[in-house]
Amino acid sequence: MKWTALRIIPPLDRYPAVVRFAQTPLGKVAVLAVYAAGLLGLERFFWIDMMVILAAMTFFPQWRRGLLLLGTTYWLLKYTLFDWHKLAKVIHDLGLESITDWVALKSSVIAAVILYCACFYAAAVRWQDTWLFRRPLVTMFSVYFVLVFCALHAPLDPAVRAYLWGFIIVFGRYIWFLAYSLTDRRSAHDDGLPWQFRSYLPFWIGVTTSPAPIAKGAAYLRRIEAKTPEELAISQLKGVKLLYWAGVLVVFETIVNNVLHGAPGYLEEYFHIPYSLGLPIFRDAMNAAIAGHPLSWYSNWLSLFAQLLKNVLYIAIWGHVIVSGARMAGFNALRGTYKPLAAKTLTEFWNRYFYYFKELLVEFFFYPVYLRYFKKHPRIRLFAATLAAAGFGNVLFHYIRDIEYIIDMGLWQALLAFHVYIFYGMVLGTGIAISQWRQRQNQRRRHWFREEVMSRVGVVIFFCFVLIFDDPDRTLTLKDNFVFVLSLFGIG
Amino acid sequence: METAATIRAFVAGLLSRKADKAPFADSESLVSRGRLDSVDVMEIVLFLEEKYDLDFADRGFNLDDYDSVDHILALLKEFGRIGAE
Repeated sequence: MKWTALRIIPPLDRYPAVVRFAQTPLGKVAVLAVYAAGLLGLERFFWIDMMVILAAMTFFPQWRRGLLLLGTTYWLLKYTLFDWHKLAKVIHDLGLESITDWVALKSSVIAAVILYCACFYAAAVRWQDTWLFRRPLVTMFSVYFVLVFCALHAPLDPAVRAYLWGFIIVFGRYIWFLAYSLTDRRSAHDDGLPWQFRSYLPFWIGVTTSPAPIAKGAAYLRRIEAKTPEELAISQLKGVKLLYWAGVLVVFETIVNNVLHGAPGYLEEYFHIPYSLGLPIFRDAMNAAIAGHPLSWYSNWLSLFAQLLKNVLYIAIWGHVIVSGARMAGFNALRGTYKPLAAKTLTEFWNRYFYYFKELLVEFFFYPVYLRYFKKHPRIRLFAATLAAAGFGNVLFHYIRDIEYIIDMGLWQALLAFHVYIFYGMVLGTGIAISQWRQRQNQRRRHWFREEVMSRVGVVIFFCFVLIFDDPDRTLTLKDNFVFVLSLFGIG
Repeated sequence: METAATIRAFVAGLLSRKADKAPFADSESLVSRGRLDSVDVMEIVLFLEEKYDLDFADRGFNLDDYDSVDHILALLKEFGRIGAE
Protein backbone atom coordinates (compact mmCIF):
# COMPACT_ATOMS: atom_id res chain seq x y z
CA MET A 1 0.00 0.00 0.00
CA LYS A 2 1.27 3.44 -0.93
CA TRP A 3 1.60 5.97 1.87
CA THR A 4 -0.77 8.25 -0.06
CA ALA A 5 -3.48 5.63 0.41
CA LEU A 6 -3.43 6.25 4.16
CA ARG A 7 -6.21 8.59 5.10
CA ILE A 8 -7.34 10.11 8.35
CA ILE A 9 -10.96 9.67 7.24
CA PRO A 10 -11.42 6.38 5.35
CA PRO A 11 -13.09 6.64 1.91
CA LEU A 12 -16.29 4.97 3.12
CA ASP A 13 -18.19 5.86 -0.04
CA ARG A 14 -15.81 3.66 -2.08
CA TYR A 15 -16.28 0.50 -0.01
CA PRO A 16 -19.07 -1.49 -1.73
CA ALA A 17 -20.01 -3.29 1.49
CA VAL A 18 -20.39 -0.02 3.38
CA VAL A 19 -22.43 1.52 0.55
CA ARG A 20 -24.71 -1.54 0.54
CA PHE A 21 -25.08 -1.39 4.33
CA ALA A 22 -25.90 2.33 4.21
CA GLN A 23 -28.93 1.51 2.04
CA THR A 24 -30.49 -0.79 4.66
CA PRO A 25 -32.73 0.60 7.43
CA LEU A 26 -30.09 -0.24 10.04
CA GLY A 27 -27.37 1.31 7.91
CA LYS A 28 -29.40 4.50 7.48
CA VAL A 29 -29.84 4.76 11.24
CA ALA A 30 -26.11 4.18 11.72
CA VAL A 31 -25.16 6.87 9.16
CA LEU A 32 -27.57 9.35 10.75
CA ALA A 33 -26.25 8.54 14.24
CA VAL A 34 -22.63 9.02 13.20
CA TYR A 35 -23.52 12.32 11.54
CA ALA A 36 -25.46 13.47 14.61
CA ALA A 37 -22.45 12.66 16.80
CA GLY A 38 -20.30 14.76 14.48
CA LEU A 39 -22.67 17.74 14.70
CA LEU A 40 -22.74 17.39 18.47
CA GLY A 41 -18.95 17.21 18.57
CA LEU A 42 -18.75 20.42 16.59
CA GLU A 43 -21.18 22.03 19.05
CA ARG A 44 -23.93 22.71 16.49
CA PHE A 45 -26.72 23.52 18.94
CA PHE A 46 -29.42 22.96 16.31
CA TRP A 47 -28.37 19.36 15.75
CA ILE A 48 -31.63 17.77 16.91
CA ASP A 49 -33.78 19.80 14.51
CA MET A 50 -31.40 19.14 11.66
CA MET A 51 -31.33 15.42 12.35
CA VAL A 52 -35.14 15.22 12.36
CA ILE A 53 -35.24 16.79 8.89
CA LEU A 54 -32.37 14.62 7.64
CA ALA A 55 -33.96 11.46 9.05
CA ALA A 56 -37.19 12.23 7.20
CA MET A 57 -35.27 12.86 3.96
CA THR A 58 -33.26 9.65 4.45
CA PHE A 59 -36.24 7.36 4.99
CA PHE A 60 -38.59 9.06 2.53
CA PRO A 61 -36.34 10.09 -0.37
CA GLN A 62 -39.32 10.03 -2.73
CA TRP A 63 -40.62 13.11 -0.88
CA ARG A 64 -37.24 14.85 -0.79
CA ARG A 65 -38.37 18.01 -2.58
CA GLY A 66 -41.36 18.50 -0.31
CA LEU A 67 -39.33 17.75 2.80
CA LEU A 68 -36.67 20.22 1.71
CA LEU A 69 -39.35 22.86 1.27
CA LEU A 70 -40.73 22.04 4.72
CA GLY A 71 -37.26 21.99 6.27
CA THR A 72 -36.31 25.32 4.70
CA THR A 73 -39.57 26.90 5.89
CA TYR A 74 -39.10 25.51 9.40
CA TRP A 75 -35.52 26.78 9.47
CA LEU A 76 -36.66 30.20 8.33
CA LEU A 77 -39.12 30.38 11.21
CA LYS A 78 -36.72 29.10 13.84
CA TYR A 79 -33.05 29.57 12.99
CA THR A 80 -32.25 31.52 9.82
CA LEU A 81 -30.28 34.57 10.80
CA PHE A 82 -30.86 37.99 9.33
CA ASP A 83 -28.89 41.09 10.18
CA TRP A 84 -31.56 42.45 12.53
CA HIS A 85 -28.95 44.43 14.45
CA LYS A 86 -28.59 46.65 11.37
CA LEU A 87 -32.34 47.33 11.38
CA ALA A 88 -32.25 47.89 15.16
CA LYS A 89 -29.73 50.66 14.60
CA VAL A 90 -31.95 52.26 11.93
CA ILE A 91 -34.93 52.10 14.29
CA HIS A 92 -32.83 53.58 17.08
CA ASP A 93 -31.61 56.42 14.84
CA LEU A 94 -35.17 57.14 13.73
CA GLY A 95 -36.36 57.18 17.38
CA LEU A 96 -38.89 54.39 16.81
CA GLU A 97 -37.81 51.94 19.52
CA SER A 98 -40.82 52.53 21.75
CA ILE A 99 -43.40 51.80 19.06
CA THR A 100 -41.72 48.89 17.34
CA ASP A 101 -43.33 45.46 17.62
CA TRP A 102 -40.30 43.39 16.64
CA VAL A 103 -42.08 40.10 16.05
CA ALA A 104 -44.65 41.67 13.74
CA LEU A 105 -41.98 43.72 11.98
CA LYS A 106 -39.61 40.81 11.37
CA SER A 107 -42.29 38.42 10.16
CA SER A 108 -43.96 40.97 7.89
CA VAL A 109 -40.60 42.03 6.39
CA ILE A 110 -39.61 38.42 5.68
CA ALA A 111 -43.05 37.69 4.19
CA ALA A 112 -42.82 40.81 2.01
CA VAL A 113 -39.36 39.81 0.73
CA ILE A 114 -40.46 36.27 -0.12
CA LEU A 115 -43.55 37.62 -1.86
CA TYR A 116 -41.39 40.08 -3.77
CA CYS A 117 -39.00 37.30 -4.87
CA ALA A 118 -41.97 35.19 -5.97
CA CYS A 119 -43.53 38.02 -7.98
CA PHE A 120 -40.22 39.02 -9.54
CA TYR A 121 -39.46 35.45 -10.56
CA ALA A 122 -42.99 34.90 -11.91
CA ALA A 123 -42.77 38.13 -13.91
CA ALA A 124 -39.31 37.17 -15.25
CA VAL A 125 -40.71 33.82 -16.43
CA ARG A 126 -43.88 35.27 -17.94
CA TRP A 127 -42.35 38.27 -19.66
CA GLN A 128 -38.88 36.87 -20.30
CA ASP A 129 -38.62 38.32 -23.80
CA THR A 130 -39.61 41.85 -22.89
CA TRP A 131 -36.89 44.52 -22.50
CA LEU A 132 -37.45 44.58 -18.75
CA PHE A 133 -36.72 40.90 -18.20
CA ARG A 134 -34.46 40.05 -21.11
CA ARG A 135 -31.61 40.72 -18.66
CA PRO A 136 -33.40 40.12 -15.35
CA LEU A 137 -30.33 40.47 -13.16
CA VAL A 138 -29.79 44.02 -14.39
CA THR A 139 -33.43 44.78 -13.58
CA MET A 140 -33.16 43.10 -10.18
CA PHE A 141 -30.08 45.12 -9.16
CA SER A 142 -31.54 48.33 -10.59
CA VAL A 143 -34.71 47.92 -8.52
CA TYR A 144 -32.57 47.13 -5.47
CA PHE A 145 -30.58 50.34 -5.78
CA VAL A 146 -33.70 52.40 -6.50
CA LEU A 147 -35.12 51.06 -3.23
CA VAL A 148 -31.88 51.94 -1.42
CA PHE A 149 -31.97 55.43 -2.91
CA CYS A 150 -35.60 55.87 -1.76
CA ALA A 151 -34.75 54.64 1.74
CA LEU A 152 -31.94 57.19 1.88
CA HIS A 153 -33.46 60.23 0.21
CA ALA A 154 -37.22 59.94 -0.38
CA PRO A 155 -39.44 62.02 1.92
CA LEU A 156 -40.86 59.03 3.77
CA ASP A 157 -42.62 58.62 7.08
CA PRO A 158 -40.02 57.30 9.60
CA ALA A 159 -41.96 54.05 10.08
CA VAL A 160 -42.09 53.48 6.30
CA ARG A 161 -38.38 54.29 6.02
CA ALA A 162 -37.57 51.78 8.77
CA TYR A 163 -39.73 49.15 7.06
CA LEU A 164 -38.05 49.80 3.74
CA TRP A 165 -34.60 49.41 5.29
CA GLY A 166 -35.81 46.17 6.87
CA PHE A 167 -36.91 44.96 3.45
CA ILE A 168 -33.57 45.89 1.89
CA ILE A 169 -31.58 44.21 4.67
CA VAL A 170 -33.54 40.95 4.44
CA PHE A 171 -33.60 40.99 0.64
CA GLY A 172 -29.80 41.26 0.80
CA ARG A 173 -29.80 37.68 2.15
CA TYR A 174 -32.04 36.47 -0.69
CA ILE A 175 -30.75 38.45 -3.63
CA TRP A 176 -28.25 35.87 -4.91
CA PHE A 177 -30.73 33.04 -4.49
CA LEU A 178 -33.22 34.99 -6.60
CA ALA A 179 -30.42 35.54 -9.12
CA TYR A 180 -29.96 31.76 -9.42
CA SER A 181 -33.71 31.35 -9.93
CA LEU A 182 -33.64 33.95 -12.67
CA THR A 183 -30.89 32.14 -14.57
CA ASP A 184 -32.97 28.98 -14.19
CA ARG A 185 -36.08 30.53 -15.71
CA ARG A 186 -35.46 29.27 -19.25
CA SER A 187 -34.45 25.79 -18.15
CA ALA A 188 -36.34 22.90 -19.72
CA HIS A 189 -36.75 21.36 -16.27
CA ASP A 190 -37.74 24.59 -14.64
CA ASP A 191 -38.84 24.09 -11.06
CA GLY A 192 -41.98 25.98 -10.18
CA LEU A 193 -42.03 28.79 -7.71
CA PRO A 194 -42.25 26.74 -4.46
CA TRP A 195 -39.42 24.53 -5.66
CA GLN A 196 -37.25 27.53 -6.25
CA PHE A 197 -37.96 28.70 -2.72
CA ARG A 198 -36.77 25.40 -1.21
CA SER A 199 -33.26 26.33 -2.32
CA TYR A 200 -33.40 29.80 -0.69
CA LEU A 201 -31.43 29.69 2.58
CA PRO A 202 -31.92 25.90 2.90
CA PHE A 203 -31.76 24.38 6.35
CA TRP A 204 -28.24 23.01 5.90
CA ILE A 205 -26.77 26.52 6.09
CA GLY A 206 -27.31 26.32 9.84
CA VAL A 207 -26.86 29.75 11.39
CA THR A 208 -24.44 31.26 8.91
CA THR A 209 -25.00 34.89 7.95
CA SER A 210 -23.20 34.78 4.61
CA PRO A 211 -25.46 35.61 1.66
CA ALA A 212 -23.40 33.37 -0.68
CA PRO A 213 -25.58 30.42 -1.72
CA ILE A 214 -23.76 27.22 -0.78
CA ALA A 215 -25.00 24.53 -3.18
CA LYS A 216 -26.27 27.35 -5.42
CA GLY A 217 -29.91 27.20 -6.55
CA ALA A 218 -32.64 24.82 -7.66
CA ALA A 219 -30.97 24.06 -11.02
CA TYR A 220 -27.76 22.85 -9.38
CA LEU A 221 -29.71 20.87 -6.78
CA ARG A 222 -31.58 19.08 -9.60
CA ARG A 223 -28.28 18.11 -11.22
CA ILE A 224 -26.64 16.77 -8.07
CA GLU A 225 -29.68 15.13 -6.47
CA ALA A 226 -29.36 11.42 -5.64
CA LYS A 227 -31.58 9.50 -8.05
CA THR A 228 -31.15 6.00 -6.62
CA PRO A 229 -30.75 4.47 -3.12
CA GLU A 230 -27.10 3.80 -3.95
CA GLU A 231 -26.49 7.43 -4.92
CA LEU A 232 -28.16 8.56 -1.70
CA ALA A 233 -25.97 6.23 0.35
CA ILE A 234 -22.83 7.48 -1.38
CA SER A 235 -23.88 11.11 -0.94
CA GLN A 236 -24.54 10.57 2.76
CA LEU A 237 -21.29 8.72 3.35
CA LYS A 238 -19.48 11.60 1.67
CA GLY A 239 -21.41 13.96 3.94
CA VAL A 240 -20.27 12.06 7.03
CA LYS A 241 -16.69 12.06 5.79
CA LEU A 242 -16.74 15.78 5.14
CA LEU A 243 -18.19 16.60 8.54
CA TYR A 244 -15.51 14.56 10.29
CA TRP A 245 -12.84 16.11 8.07
CA ALA A 246 -14.11 19.50 9.27
CA GLY A 247 -13.62 18.17 12.81
CA VAL A 248 -10.03 17.20 12.01
CA LEU A 249 -9.45 20.67 10.61
CA VAL A 250 -10.88 22.25 13.78
CA VAL A 251 -8.28 20.36 15.80
CA PHE A 252 -5.56 21.40 13.35
CA GLU A 253 -6.74 25.02 13.49
CA THR A 254 -6.54 24.93 17.28
CA ILE A 255 -3.00 23.58 17.17
CA VAL A 256 -1.99 26.16 14.54
CA ASN A 257 -3.42 28.99 16.63
CA ASN A 258 -1.69 27.66 19.72
CA VAL A 259 1.68 27.16 18.09
CA LEU A 260 1.66 30.41 16.11
CA HIS A 261 0.04 32.80 18.53
CA GLY A 262 -0.37 30.99 21.87
CA ALA A 263 -4.15 31.31 21.60
CA PRO A 264 -5.91 28.02 20.84
CA GLY A 265 -9.34 29.63 20.48
CA TYR A 266 -12.21 27.22 19.77
CA LEU A 267 -10.94 24.17 21.69
CA GLU A 268 -9.10 26.13 24.36
CA GLU A 269 -10.54 24.07 27.20
CA TYR A 270 -9.26 20.80 25.68
CA PHE A 271 -5.94 21.88 24.23
CA HIS A 272 -2.99 23.57 25.68
CA ILE A 273 0.32 23.05 23.99
CA PRO A 274 3.00 24.56 26.22
CA TYR A 275 4.84 26.06 23.28
CA SER A 276 4.18 29.01 21.05
CA LEU A 277 6.15 30.99 18.48
CA GLY A 278 4.43 34.08 19.87
CA LEU A 279 3.79 35.46 16.40
CA PRO A 280 1.76 38.65 16.23
CA ILE A 281 -1.75 38.35 14.86
CA PHE A 282 -1.91 39.93 11.38
CA ARG A 283 -4.28 42.70 12.49
CA ASP A 284 -1.96 43.65 15.36
CA ALA A 285 1.02 43.72 13.00
CA MET A 286 -0.90 45.94 10.62
CA ASN A 287 -2.06 48.29 13.38
CA ALA A 288 1.51 48.59 14.64
CA ALA A 289 2.72 49.55 11.16
CA ILE A 290 -0.09 52.09 10.74
CA ALA A 291 0.71 53.57 14.16
CA GLY A 292 4.29 54.14 13.00
CA HIS A 293 5.82 51.37 15.13
CA PRO A 294 6.17 48.50 12.67
CA LEU A 295 7.26 45.09 13.83
CA SER A 296 10.29 43.45 12.22
CA TRP A 297 9.83 42.67 8.51
CA TYR A 298 10.01 38.92 9.12
CA SER A 299 7.36 39.10 11.87
CA ASN A 300 5.10 40.90 9.42
CA TRP A 301 5.66 38.27 6.75
CA LEU A 302 5.08 35.44 9.20
CA SER A 303 1.88 37.03 10.53
CA LEU A 304 0.68 37.45 6.94
CA PHE A 305 1.40 33.82 6.00
CA ALA A 306 -0.25 32.69 9.23
CA GLN A 307 -3.34 34.74 8.43
CA LEU A 308 -3.67 33.19 4.97
CA LEU A 309 -3.38 29.71 6.48
CA LYS A 310 -5.97 30.54 9.15
CA ASN A 311 -8.34 32.02 6.55
CA VAL A 312 -8.09 28.85 4.49
CA LEU A 313 -8.79 26.70 7.54
CA TYR A 314 -11.68 28.88 8.64
CA ILE A 315 -13.45 28.92 5.30
CA ALA A 316 -12.85 25.20 4.79
CA ILE A 317 -14.34 24.26 8.16
CA TRP A 318 -17.30 26.58 7.71
CA GLY A 319 -18.05 25.35 4.19
CA HIS A 320 -17.47 21.66 4.91
CA VAL A 321 -20.09 21.60 7.67
CA ILE A 322 -22.67 23.24 5.39
CA VAL A 323 -21.90 21.05 2.37
CA SER A 324 -21.98 17.94 4.57
CA GLY A 325 -25.59 18.83 5.47
CA ALA A 326 -26.52 19.14 1.78
CA ARG A 327 -24.93 15.76 1.08
CA MET A 328 -26.81 14.15 3.96
CA ALA A 329 -30.02 15.53 2.44
CA GLY A 330 -29.21 13.67 -0.79
CA PHE A 331 -27.58 16.51 -2.73
CA ASN A 332 -24.04 15.50 -3.56
CA ALA A 333 -22.63 19.04 -3.66
CA LEU A 334 -18.99 19.77 -4.35
CA ARG A 335 -16.82 20.96 -1.48
CA GLY A 336 -16.66 24.68 -0.92
CA THR A 337 -12.90 24.54 -0.35
CA TYR A 338 -10.49 21.99 -1.81
CA LYS A 339 -6.75 22.20 -1.13
CA PRO A 340 -6.25 25.83 -2.20
CA LEU A 341 -2.68 25.88 -0.91
CA ALA A 342 -1.81 23.15 -3.42
CA ALA A 343 -2.87 25.38 -6.33
CA LYS A 344 -0.27 26.05 -9.02
CA THR A 345 -2.06 29.02 -10.60
CA LEU A 346 -4.00 32.00 -9.30
CA THR A 347 -7.10 30.77 -11.14
CA GLU A 348 -6.81 27.39 -9.49
CA PHE A 349 -6.45 28.93 -6.02
CA TRP A 350 -9.50 31.13 -6.62
CA ASN A 351 -11.43 28.09 -7.83
CA ARG A 352 -10.48 26.04 -4.80
CA TYR A 353 -10.64 28.65 -2.02
CA PHE A 354 -14.38 29.34 -1.95
CA TYR A 355 -15.92 27.49 -4.87
CA TYR A 356 -19.51 28.72 -4.42
CA PHE A 357 -18.52 32.38 -4.24
CA LYS A 358 -16.37 31.96 -7.32
CA GLU A 359 -19.24 30.22 -9.10
CA LEU A 360 -21.58 33.09 -8.22
CA LEU A 361 -19.15 35.59 -9.71
CA VAL A 362 -18.52 33.46 -12.79
CA GLU A 363 -22.19 32.82 -13.55
CA PHE A 364 -23.54 36.31 -12.88
CA PHE A 365 -20.64 38.50 -13.99
CA PHE A 366 -17.95 36.66 -15.95
CA TYR A 367 -20.09 34.92 -18.56
CA PRO A 368 -22.59 37.72 -19.20
CA VAL A 369 -19.63 39.94 -20.16
CA TYR A 370 -17.68 37.18 -21.88
CA LEU A 371 -20.60 36.20 -24.11
CA ARG A 372 -21.42 39.78 -25.13
CA TYR A 373 -18.38 41.99 -25.41
CA PHE A 374 -14.98 42.19 -27.20
CA LYS A 375 -15.47 38.97 -29.13
CA LYS A 376 -12.95 39.95 -31.76
CA HIS A 377 -10.30 40.72 -29.13
CA PRO A 378 -9.69 37.53 -27.16
CA ARG A 379 -7.26 39.05 -24.68
CA ILE A 380 -9.43 42.08 -23.90
CA ARG A 381 -12.46 39.81 -23.77
CA LEU A 382 -10.90 37.62 -21.11
CA PHE A 383 -9.63 40.59 -19.09
CA ALA A 384 -12.95 42.42 -19.21
CA ALA A 385 -14.92 39.36 -18.15
CA THR A 386 -12.51 38.48 -15.34
CA LEU A 387 -12.47 42.04 -14.04
CA ALA A 388 -16.28 42.08 -14.21
CA ALA A 389 -16.34 39.00 -11.97
CA ALA A 390 -13.40 39.22 -9.56
CA GLY A 391 -13.47 43.01 -9.54
CA PHE A 392 -16.94 44.45 -10.09
CA GLY A 393 -19.03 41.46 -8.98
CA ASN A 394 -16.83 40.85 -5.96
CA VAL A 395 -17.14 44.47 -4.83
CA LEU A 396 -20.89 44.54 -5.50
CA PHE A 397 -21.41 41.39 -3.42
CA HIS A 398 -19.65 42.93 -0.42
CA TYR A 399 -21.20 46.37 -0.98
CA ILE A 400 -24.66 44.81 -0.69
CA ARG A 401 -23.62 42.53 2.16
CA ASP A 402 -22.20 45.41 4.20
CA ILE A 403 -25.37 47.49 3.81
CA GLU A 404 -24.73 49.20 7.18
CA TYR A 405 -22.15 51.43 5.50
CA ILE A 406 -24.74 52.59 2.95
CA ILE A 407 -27.30 53.17 5.72
CA ASP A 408 -24.82 55.25 7.70
CA MET A 409 -22.96 57.06 4.92
CA GLY A 410 -25.15 57.02 1.83
CA LEU A 411 -24.36 55.36 -1.50
CA TRP A 412 -21.45 57.55 -2.58
CA GLN A 413 -19.63 57.86 0.74
CA ALA A 414 -20.03 54.12 1.31
CA LEU A 415 -18.51 53.51 -2.11
CA LEU A 416 -15.59 55.74 -1.16
CA ALA A 417 -15.19 53.75 2.06
CA PHE A 418 -14.91 50.69 -0.17
CA HIS A 419 -11.96 52.10 -2.10
CA VAL A 420 -9.51 49.65 -0.54
CA TYR A 421 -11.75 46.72 -1.41
CA ILE A 422 -12.18 48.09 -4.94
CA PHE A 423 -8.38 48.15 -5.23
CA TYR A 424 -8.32 44.58 -3.91
CA GLY A 425 -10.88 43.53 -6.54
CA MET A 426 -8.92 45.16 -9.34
CA VAL A 427 -5.62 43.54 -8.34
CA LEU A 428 -7.29 40.17 -7.83
CA GLY A 429 -9.13 40.40 -11.16
CA THR A 430 -6.00 41.42 -13.05
CA GLY A 431 -3.98 38.61 -11.45
CA ILE A 432 -6.58 35.99 -12.27
CA ALA A 433 -7.01 37.30 -15.82
CA ILE A 434 -3.25 37.04 -16.44
CA SER A 435 -3.25 33.59 -14.89
CA GLN A 436 -6.11 32.44 -17.14
CA TRP A 437 -4.44 33.85 -20.22
CA ARG A 438 -1.15 32.15 -19.42
CA GLN A 439 -3.00 28.91 -18.70
CA ARG A 440 -4.58 29.05 -22.16
CA GLN A 441 -1.33 29.92 -23.92
CA ASN A 442 1.09 27.73 -22.09
CA GLN A 443 0.13 24.06 -22.02
CA ARG A 444 3.64 22.63 -22.20
CA ARG A 445 5.40 20.96 -19.28
CA ARG A 446 7.87 23.03 -17.31
CA HIS A 447 10.82 22.03 -15.20
CA TRP A 448 9.77 20.10 -12.08
CA PHE A 449 11.02 22.74 -9.64
CA ARG A 450 9.22 25.54 -11.50
CA GLU A 451 6.08 23.49 -11.94
CA GLU A 452 5.75 21.98 -8.47
CA VAL A 453 7.48 24.48 -6.17
CA MET A 454 7.88 27.94 -7.65
CA SER A 455 4.35 28.10 -9.05
CA ARG A 456 2.85 27.26 -5.63
CA VAL A 457 5.12 29.74 -3.82
CA GLY A 458 4.12 32.44 -6.31
CA VAL A 459 0.41 31.75 -5.76
CA VAL A 460 0.77 31.94 -1.97
CA ILE A 461 2.76 35.19 -2.14
CA PHE A 462 0.17 36.78 -4.46
CA PHE A 463 -2.74 35.84 -2.19
CA CYS A 464 -0.81 37.03 0.87
CA PHE A 465 -0.34 40.37 -0.88
CA VAL A 466 -4.02 40.80 -1.80
CA LEU A 467 -5.03 39.62 1.68
CA ILE A 468 -3.60 42.88 3.05
CA PHE A 469 -6.33 44.76 1.17
CA ASP A 470 -9.13 42.30 1.96
CA ASP A 471 -10.02 43.75 5.32
CA PRO A 472 -13.64 44.08 6.45
CA ASP A 473 -12.74 47.29 8.29
CA ARG A 474 -13.76 49.98 5.79
CA THR A 475 -12.16 52.77 7.85
CA LEU A 476 -8.68 51.81 6.66
CA THR A 477 -7.28 53.73 3.71
CA LEU A 478 -5.09 52.58 0.84
CA LYS A 479 -2.27 54.53 2.47
CA ASP A 480 -2.67 52.48 5.68
CA ASN A 481 -2.46 49.28 3.66
CA PHE A 482 0.60 50.40 1.74
CA VAL A 483 2.31 51.41 5.00
CA PHE A 484 2.03 47.76 5.98
CA VAL A 485 3.23 46.62 2.53
CA LEU A 486 6.36 48.74 2.96
CA SER A 487 6.90 47.35 6.46
CA LEU A 488 7.16 43.89 4.88
CA PHE A 489 10.40 45.13 3.32
CA GLY A 490 11.65 46.87 6.45
CA ILE A 491 10.65 50.30 5.18
CA GLY A 492 8.86 52.69 7.51
CA MET B 1 -23.70 11.61 -34.94
CA GLU B 2 -20.63 13.36 -36.26
CA THR B 3 -21.44 16.42 -34.14
CA ALA B 4 -21.76 14.26 -31.03
CA ALA B 5 -18.39 12.68 -31.74
CA THR B 6 -16.80 16.11 -32.22
CA ILE B 7 -18.17 17.40 -28.91
CA ARG B 8 -17.19 14.21 -27.12
CA ALA B 9 -13.64 14.43 -28.46
CA PHE B 10 -13.33 18.07 -27.42
CA VAL B 11 -14.60 17.37 -23.90
CA ALA B 12 -12.28 14.36 -23.65
CA GLY B 13 -9.41 16.68 -24.61
CA LEU B 14 -10.30 19.10 -21.84
CA LEU B 15 -10.43 16.26 -19.32
CA SER B 16 -7.16 14.76 -20.46
CA ARG B 17 -5.43 18.14 -19.99
CA LYS B 18 -6.32 17.73 -16.33
CA ALA B 19 -4.98 14.16 -16.35
CA ASP B 20 -8.56 12.90 -16.08
CA LYS B 21 -8.60 9.80 -18.25
CA ALA B 22 -11.72 8.24 -16.72
CA PRO B 23 -14.48 7.45 -19.21
CA PHE B 24 -17.63 9.57 -19.25
CA ALA B 25 -21.13 9.06 -20.53
CA ASP B 26 -22.82 11.65 -22.71
CA SER B 27 -25.36 12.20 -19.96
CA GLU B 28 -22.78 12.61 -17.18
CA SER B 29 -22.83 15.97 -15.39
CA LEU B 30 -19.19 16.91 -15.77
CA VAL B 31 -19.35 20.43 -14.35
CA SER B 32 -21.66 19.58 -11.43
CA ARG B 33 -19.40 16.69 -10.48
CA GLY B 34 -16.32 18.89 -10.59
CA ARG B 35 -14.58 17.17 -13.53
CA LEU B 36 -14.80 20.38 -15.56
CA ASP B 37 -14.55 23.88 -14.12
CA SER B 38 -15.49 27.35 -15.28
CA VAL B 39 -12.26 27.79 -17.28
CA ASP B 40 -13.11 24.61 -19.16
CA VAL B 41 -16.63 25.91 -19.82
CA MET B 42 -15.04 29.04 -21.27
CA GLU B 43 -13.07 26.78 -23.64
CA ILE B 44 -16.29 25.00 -24.62
CA VAL B 45 -18.00 28.33 -25.31
CA LEU B 46 -15.06 29.45 -27.46
CA PHE B 47 -15.04 26.14 -29.31
CA LEU B 48 -18.78 26.31 -30.04
CA GLU B 49 -18.52 29.94 -31.15
CA GLU B 50 -15.67 29.20 -33.53
CA LYS B 51 -16.66 25.78 -34.82
CA TYR B 52 -20.40 26.36 -35.20
CA ASP B 53 -20.44 30.14 -35.57
CA LEU B 54 -22.70 30.62 -32.58
CA ASP B 55 -23.49 33.82 -30.74
CA PHE B 56 -24.72 33.37 -27.17
CA ALA B 57 -25.04 37.08 -26.43
CA ASP B 58 -28.84 37.20 -26.50
CA ARG B 59 -29.39 33.82 -24.97
CA GLY B 60 -27.63 34.58 -21.71
CA PHE B 61 -25.57 32.16 -19.67
CA ASN B 62 -26.85 29.03 -17.99
CA LEU B 63 -24.24 26.60 -16.71
CA ASP B 64 -26.76 23.81 -17.25
CA ASP B 65 -26.23 24.17 -21.03
CA TYR B 66 -22.61 22.99 -20.75
CA ASP B 67 -22.93 20.43 -17.98
CA SER B 68 -22.78 17.32 -20.18
CA VAL B 69 -22.27 16.28 -23.79
CA ASP B 70 -26.04 15.77 -24.05
CA HIS B 71 -26.69 19.29 -22.81
CA ILE B 72 -24.22 20.78 -25.30
CA LEU B 73 -25.86 18.81 -28.09
CA ALA B 74 -29.26 20.11 -26.99
CA LEU B 75 -27.85 23.61 -27.15
CA LEU B 76 -26.57 23.02 -30.69
CA LYS B 77 -29.95 21.61 -31.65
CA GLU B 78 -31.63 24.74 -30.29
CA PHE B 79 -29.38 26.80 -32.56
CA GLY B 80 -30.08 24.47 -35.49
CA ARG B 81 -26.47 23.34 -35.77
CA ILE B 82 -26.78 19.59 -35.43
CA GLY B 83 -25.12 18.02 -38.43
CA ALA B 84 -23.85 21.38 -39.62
CA GLU B 85 -20.20 20.45 -40.13
